[in-house]
Amino acid sequence: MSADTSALDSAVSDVATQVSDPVQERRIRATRRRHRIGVVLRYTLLTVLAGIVLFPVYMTVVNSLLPADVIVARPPTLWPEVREWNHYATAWTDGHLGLYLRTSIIVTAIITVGQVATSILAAYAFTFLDFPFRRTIFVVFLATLMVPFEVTIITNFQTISDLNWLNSYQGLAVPFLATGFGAFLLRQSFLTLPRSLEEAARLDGYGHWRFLARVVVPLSRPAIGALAVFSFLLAWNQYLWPLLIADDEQYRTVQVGLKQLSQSNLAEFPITFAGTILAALPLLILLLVFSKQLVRGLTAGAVKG
Amino acid sequence: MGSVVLEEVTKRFGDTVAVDDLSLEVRDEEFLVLVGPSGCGKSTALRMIAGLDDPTDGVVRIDGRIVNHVEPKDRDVAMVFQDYALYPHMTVRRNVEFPLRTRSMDRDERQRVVTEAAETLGLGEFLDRKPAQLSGGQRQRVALARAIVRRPEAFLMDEPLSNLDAKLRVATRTELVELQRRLGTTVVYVTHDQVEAMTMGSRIAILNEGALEQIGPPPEIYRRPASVFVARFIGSPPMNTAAGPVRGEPGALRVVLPGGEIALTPHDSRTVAGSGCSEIVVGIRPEHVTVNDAKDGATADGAAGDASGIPASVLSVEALGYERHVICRLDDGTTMIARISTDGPEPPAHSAVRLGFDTARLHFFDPATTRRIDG
Ligand SMILES: Nc1ncnc2c1ncn2[C@@H]1O[C@H](COP(=O)(O)OP(=O)(O)OP(=O)(O)O)[C@@H](O)[C@H]1O
Ligand SMILES: [Mg+2]
Repeated sequence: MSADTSALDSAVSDVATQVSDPVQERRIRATRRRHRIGVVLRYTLLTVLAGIVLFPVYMTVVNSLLPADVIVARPPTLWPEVREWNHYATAWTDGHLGLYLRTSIIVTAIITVGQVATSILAAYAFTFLDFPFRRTIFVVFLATLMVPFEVTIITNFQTISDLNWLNSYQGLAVPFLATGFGAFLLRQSFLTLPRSLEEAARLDGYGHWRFLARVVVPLSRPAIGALAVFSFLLAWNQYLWPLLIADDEQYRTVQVGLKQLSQSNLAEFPITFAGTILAALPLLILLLVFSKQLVRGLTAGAVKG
Repeated sequence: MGSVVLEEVTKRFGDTVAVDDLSLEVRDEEFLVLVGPSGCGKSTALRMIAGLDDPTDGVVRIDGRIVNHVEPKDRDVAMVFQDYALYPHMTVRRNVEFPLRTRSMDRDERQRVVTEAAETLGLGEFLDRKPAQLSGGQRQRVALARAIVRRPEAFLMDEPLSNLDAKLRVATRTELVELQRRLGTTVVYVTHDQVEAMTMGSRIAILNEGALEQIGPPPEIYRRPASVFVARFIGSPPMNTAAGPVRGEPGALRVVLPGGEIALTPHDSRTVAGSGCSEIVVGIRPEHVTVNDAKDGATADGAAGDASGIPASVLSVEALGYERHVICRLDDGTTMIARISTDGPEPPAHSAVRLGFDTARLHFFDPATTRRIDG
């Protein structure tokens, strides 16, 4: 959007400097004005929308800084006069958020790495290897996308409990190490690689592993990056499964911990808000670092059609 | 050293026969061109030599050794792909040294080989660029450089010039042949372009629907095409062919064509009589056809001709600057093309003319088998 508007802008001003005909000049100025109004309108709209989206976040920050008794007062405070930053420290230590965050980060890291690794391998097999029933197996993979996690949650719980994995990192992470979605996403990306690349590598003595590592993965970085971000978001925001698997403090994830924090007592209301912000920080950082990758992953299909 | 032999090789994809009972020998240090129309199985044949496809039947030998069950990497052949198959994320240097990284070769040696290959192909200044920052011709050189660093027994090239513009293609043609001479390796070169085949090959193998039509040095293929297919495939414009019954005495035969007859030379008469065909396909190259005025028999480019030719009407004239192609139609609709000099007036379209044939330059084919009839 902005690229073509600026191109238009400069094109319009180029023309303006060249002509001296008053009629035409007026017309050009009118075009430019109309154009500028369009830009102003667009940015106003975007600002309003951003405000609507960001307002609850802002209020969370405000509420996290207010004393407990002010928070329920009417009308609500929009700007905290006294800022109680110690709520964050309280949430971190007394609310055990530090501990929960640690668990969340460990589990999320395992799931993300696991999903990316298994998806790369599965997608490679579905793209470059010839084996019996390849199509059928792939369709079965795809079919798992249609099954919501809630359907399998009971059996999964039983399995994990039989394995004695309740209250453990593996219990939290193992059921999510493979994903049909990831295999599908990466296969689509691998399929766009010219077949001749694989054949050239084969002639040059590159086996599957080396071809995967040296050619396929580097060339599919955008898709792999997008998958990593999606996996991370999914793993980070899990609630039901960690709630079932971990009742031990030690293995409680931050989402579950927050919920319990909010249920404890009213005096800790602002502390809950502070906890919420703390829990969202890793995501925020991730988004800032990988926003380009995420957008590219989301639009990849759209551009290629 | 680097000979490549196919013995009765067949390749089927389901019901499609891509390569049909193909026997072929590529001699050591030879530049053999595999040529044929699209879909005739050239790429498949090449891929079977490389080991990328397995033959359904038959034997592939490289350097005397049967390689049917040898991995591609152990066949000691390098392939240049039509799309070059360069790795987009690697610099030119990385691309060129890619085949060397699987071998135990120390870094200095590798650098030396890469630099040498880059120099051979004039890529020195591009070594640190990515393929996307190169022109088509430069990419093609990178693909070649990557092939030569391996010092293979044989190069396999699948239409490596087809992505280049016409001018660059002509220049690269010469360079490729020159490179092959210098390296002294065997090359199997696939193309659908008969000009490329004629100018580059020390021998040409012509494929049609998966089967070998003819193999030989370019002049021989041009002078003595082994079948109607070869006759019409090699040469531009293609050889004129027309079928007609044979008449007359064994020593003085005539072929009856729509609107007239051609009297055969005594030698040709004996050849045709020997074949026992009562009907025959006559072929004549466009340069051996003259276009004569329908009434006085003067040729289109001014020389005195004969009035005895076959009547035809002019469809159109293609003036190429250095020569002209007169496209004519016989009474029964058969198209005949004459290649004439640019001297003299142009025969107007739709005018009636007489086509004269240089009867010493006729080719004969058996209409049943479409194979050449030879004395
Ligand atoms: N993997 C495949 N599966 C099925 N059929 C194939 C396969 N590869 C080639 N064929 C068929 O085999 C025949 C020969 O194909 P091939 O690619 O060898 O032709 P070609 O001579 O290289 O043609 P072109 O000049 O168009 O590249 C074609 O009819 C093609 O459709
Ligand atoms: Mg081909």
